[in-house]
Amino acid sequence: MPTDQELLQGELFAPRGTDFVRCPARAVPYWRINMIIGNCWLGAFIAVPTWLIAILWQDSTWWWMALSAVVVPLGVWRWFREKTEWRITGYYLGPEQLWVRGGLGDRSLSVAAYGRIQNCDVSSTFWSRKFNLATVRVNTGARSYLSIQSIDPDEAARIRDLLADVALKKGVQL
Amino acid sequence: MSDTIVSGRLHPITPVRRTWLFITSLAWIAYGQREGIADLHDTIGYGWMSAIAAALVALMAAMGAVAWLKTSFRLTADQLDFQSGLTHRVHRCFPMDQIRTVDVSRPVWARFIGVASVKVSTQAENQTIGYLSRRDAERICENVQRILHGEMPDTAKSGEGVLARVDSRMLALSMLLNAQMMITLSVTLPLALWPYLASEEVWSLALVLPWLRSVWKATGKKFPAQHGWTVHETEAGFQTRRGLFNKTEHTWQKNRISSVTLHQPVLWRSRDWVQVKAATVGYAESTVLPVGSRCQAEKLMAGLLGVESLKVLDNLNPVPRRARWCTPFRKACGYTETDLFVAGWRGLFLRQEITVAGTGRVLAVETSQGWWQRRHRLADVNLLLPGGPDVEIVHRDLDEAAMIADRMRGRVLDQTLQANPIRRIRLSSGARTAVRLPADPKES
Repeated sequence: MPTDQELLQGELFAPRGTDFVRCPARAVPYWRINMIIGNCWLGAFIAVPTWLIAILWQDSTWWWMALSAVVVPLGVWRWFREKTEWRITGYYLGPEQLWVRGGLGDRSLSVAAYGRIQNCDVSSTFWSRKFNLATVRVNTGARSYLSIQSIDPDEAARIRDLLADVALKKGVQL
Repeated sequence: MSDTIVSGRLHPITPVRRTWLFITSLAWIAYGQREGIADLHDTIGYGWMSAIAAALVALMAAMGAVAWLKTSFRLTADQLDFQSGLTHRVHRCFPMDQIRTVDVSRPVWARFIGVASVKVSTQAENQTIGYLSRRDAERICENVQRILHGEMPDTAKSGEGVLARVDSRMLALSMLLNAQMMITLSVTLPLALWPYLASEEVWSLALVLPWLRSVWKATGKKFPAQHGWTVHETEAGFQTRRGLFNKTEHTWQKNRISSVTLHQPVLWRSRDWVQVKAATVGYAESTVLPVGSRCQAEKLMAGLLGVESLKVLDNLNPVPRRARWCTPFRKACGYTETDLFVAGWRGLFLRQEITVAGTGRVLAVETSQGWWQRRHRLADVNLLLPGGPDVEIVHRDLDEAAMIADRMRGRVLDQTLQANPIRRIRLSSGARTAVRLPADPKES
């Protein structure tokens, strides 16, 4: 198993002086359930049109089913990689900046100064509530958001209040 | 030779006005020969008849367009020139000392579509020049009357503050040289016609309608919307004026621009034409100049972001050679950076884009890396801007990307801390509101 330093490619995703907080371990089964639901949708998305084509061609073979079964090995691979994603995903509330890291295949590290924060909100879905998790979404006025995903709801509320307060004190014009 | 005071072409509606008699005559003849047409239909079928009719209409439209391109007017201090005709060329010249009166005429239907004609009365004859846009007609009339009264023509009005002007020919050519659009339309036409060719059922030609809609959206709809595009310099910043039928103006405030994007499709490169787009909060990436020379684009950019911004257009830092495994357009990618500005160069399919932004406008810094980039030790750095497009520094070496991101984070933080904070005041009810601190204490 690669070390954290190897996983995060050194300075690129783990700059010096940062100490990222990981999300709770129960986020892993939550992501796995999300992944299964997503893969079921993907399988259906492939199966329905291919099945219709097979009917139109009066093809009695089961090639369409084999095609849609591609999602199974994909899901198995993803199932075992969720733990790696958990090791990468995290946030760091620095003295002047908010740092958010995440992703498995496509990794990202987003950093915004507190003075640039416009608003932040907390949200939770049906499944995330079952796992007692919530997401904080921070808007800086740019097209994309900074998302602190799958954290404890109390922690999410604390971060929201903290960011709202610090943005109020340090906020600058866009 | 005197300087030109007003010049241009007639309004594009003119060929339509001139050909209505011809089209009506054709329709009348077709009605008279309806039995012959019915026989023709039995012989060749609806498909070919529709194709012939479409070709005739296209031919007439093309002839009208060419005739319109060959028609122009020009007013100088000495004379008013008018040239017209496609096969039979006519050049009318009205010396100023021969002109008695000049009037603007606007019939009801011309008022409805916003055009006018100019009636020039000389000692020998009365001549009508039409149809012109209302503004051109009024300027001709006003300036001729000034000259006749011995006053100086109002040349300042026509040229003052105009930074760039896009003529119709350049605009039409730039649309035709859009390779992406041409390829899309060329590929989709056989697909649209395939059902008809396979079934020979006339109703299946209805599938061509979406294709015609795409053609219209890409050319016919865009051309009148962007016709007569001018960029004026005002006290606030820049003002763009455009439109053939619907006139639209938009003002760009200099201190509100978050980024400027220079866009160059592949077929424009030989002419070095550039499209300039700018972004402000709530008005992301709108066109400032649909097509113009590199010099005009740089002039606009210097006006919008400051002269310093031009420095980022030189000394491109190329991406590493191994980036060729991640993008086929490696040579078009790169980035440049100065103390105040940063530019991201991206080569996309059949076009190149350079996005320039002041580092003071950057809201957040994002480092990203896909799994394929990870295999080649590459990463992207995105600088997020308010509402508009982001500056994307793509396919950099891993260590270099880390350094760029670190430098940008520091710079953005410094500028955020140095910026004037928004002062909040507490209202009596307990609610808080924001008040901008004035930069100068005297203002308060």
